[in-house]
Formats: sequence, C-alpha cells, structure tokens
Amino acid sequence: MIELTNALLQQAYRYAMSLVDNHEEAKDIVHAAYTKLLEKDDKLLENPQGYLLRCVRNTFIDQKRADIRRTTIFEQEVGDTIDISVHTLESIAINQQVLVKLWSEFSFEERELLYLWAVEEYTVDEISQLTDIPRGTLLSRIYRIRQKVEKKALHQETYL
Amino acid sequence: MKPSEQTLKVSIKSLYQDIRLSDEELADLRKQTAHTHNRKTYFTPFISTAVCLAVCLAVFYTFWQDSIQKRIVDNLMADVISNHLSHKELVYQTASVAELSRHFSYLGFLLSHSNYVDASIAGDLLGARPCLILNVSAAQLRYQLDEHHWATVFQVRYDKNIYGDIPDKHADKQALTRTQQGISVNIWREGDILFASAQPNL
Repeated sequence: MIELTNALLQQAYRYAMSLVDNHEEAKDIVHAAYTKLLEKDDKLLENPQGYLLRCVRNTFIDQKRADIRRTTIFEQEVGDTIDISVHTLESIAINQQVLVKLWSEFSFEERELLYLWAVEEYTVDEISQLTDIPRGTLLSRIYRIRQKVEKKALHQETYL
Repeated sequence: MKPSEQTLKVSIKSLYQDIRLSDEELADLRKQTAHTHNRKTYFTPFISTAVCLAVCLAVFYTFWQDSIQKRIVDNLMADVISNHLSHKELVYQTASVAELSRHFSYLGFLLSHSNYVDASIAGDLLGARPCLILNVSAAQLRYQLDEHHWATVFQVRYDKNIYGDIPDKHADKQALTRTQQGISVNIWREGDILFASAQPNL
C-alpha cells in the first residue's frame, strides 16, 4: 500500500485550495484523490506525487463539470508574436491586501496557474504536462492575468 | 516597488504559507481514507461473489423455466396428438357450433370457430366429444377433411399455471407448431381460451 508523507498531503491540499478556494471542499477532494491512489498498485506507480496531484485535479473537474461548462470562457491562444512568458508575471509588484481581494476574482484556471507557478515553482511546460492544457493556452492565461493584476494594482488605493 | 509591495510570486507564496491542514485534520484524513479503502477491499470479494452467485442463479432460473415450459408444451402436444389419433366416437353429432356450445356449457365458456384455424380445417364439422387436455376438461371438435382424413380442434379454458406461456393470437403472436407422428399440431390462445388444432401432415 502506498504511504504518503504529510508534506505531500499538504501539497495536495494546497493545490485543491487553489482550485476550489474552500477549506471543506478541498479536504473532500484530497480524501477522494488519496483513496484513488490507494487503489493503485504501488509497484506500477512511478510517480505517486504527480499521480496524486493529477487525481486532485481530476476529482475537482469531475465534481465541478457542470459548473465548469457554464463558466468556462473560450480561450483564444495568443500568437508567438506577443512576448508572453512567466517572466512577465515575475516583474509585477503588488500589495498583499490587493492580492487577497484579487484572488477571489480569479477563475479557478487562473488561481491554479498562479499557484503552480508561484508556490510549486513549476515551469509552463511542467504545468502543461500536469494539467494537459496546451502551452499556448497557458500563455494566454498569463497574459490575461497580467492585465488583470496590472489594472487592479493601478487602482490599489481604492482598496486600502 | 513601493515599501508595501512585494513581487507577485512572493505575495502568492505568502498567501499560501498559512494554508495547511492541521495535525488533527491530517490524522483524520488518513483515518478516513484508510477506513474507506479497507471497507472497499473488505467487501469487494463478498460483492464479487454475491454478483457471480446472482448471475448464476439468474441463468439457472432461466434455463429451468425454459425446461419446464418445454416439458409442458411436450405434454400438451402429446395429449392433442393422442386425442386426435384415438378417433373416439363423437358424443354430439352436429354441424352447429352453437348447439355444441350448449352441451359444453359446463366448461365455462362458449365454443367458437377460431379465426386463426387453418382454412383447410374449416371443412365439415361432424360434431364433438369431451376430452382432457393435461387433465383439464376440454371439448374436441372433429372436422372431415376427406374420406380418410379428419382434423380436430380442441378448446379449453387457458390457465397459465397449467399450460405455461402460450402465445396469444390477440397479441399477434405466432402459434406453437410441431409435426409429430405425421400429425401437424398448432397451439395458441385467444385471450383466456386455449386452442389446439391437429391434422394429418399431407
């Protein structure tokens, strides 16, 4: 039977929180994902950590499928001519209180991307592999996130 | 960068540094997950066995029912052929079905010409006599086909417990047919009356 460390479970929980932004729902998702993991033959599982995170995501998608269909915005991939990369996010400065306000306004896709980039320090390619989202789509999201953050940051005094 | 600001990355990291499960919640999660997993693995062999058993019973029951039905139909066919071939003397000699119906009123239904009897049987009605079909009182009507051949049409009240599933012509079902000992037999029902016809397979 596969044994997961507390650190890995915490990582799964934080990832679930980035998706649902709700403590109880995140716990339920982690429970479901952990249970799925236990059903796997540990001899066949090369990367329990990656598998667990994917389980967390898939459990979230399954639970929220109907809501996701209603709210998913069609994302047009941005061409290579526009300079987009995660580096553009790194140059952004923001007040913590503004971020807290802004965080609840992000879609789950945006929160997920920011979490994996900032907290787990994944590259765009690693995020693309984990989430099965094309690199181009992720770059589009980065572009929109940057625009959102910059717009809010410009008006940050109204939040303080 | 203003003094109150940090990079977006650092800000997000700060946001998540306090997002964690407590030790109690972690222990609870492990306990719940182990319990769910144990319950699944404990019950799985029982559930698999129960499902297998249910499937086997269903298959066995189907075969058993089919076997019973086949035996009933075999016995029914045998009774019809035996009564037809015995060619016992007619008790009532008349070509009138209505008159025969009065004699057989004890059967609890009116004798009738069936619309589904083979046209070749709709020959000269000679009369009828009582008989038994699977030990149930029935009427046996005899028709003359030619000098040497006759046909018999049996009518008895249909009882599913005795005769099993017999196709209902009123529901557009096909009659049961069989040829045995040179006799062509058709069995069907019309509502709650069971009909059987027997004639030589010429």
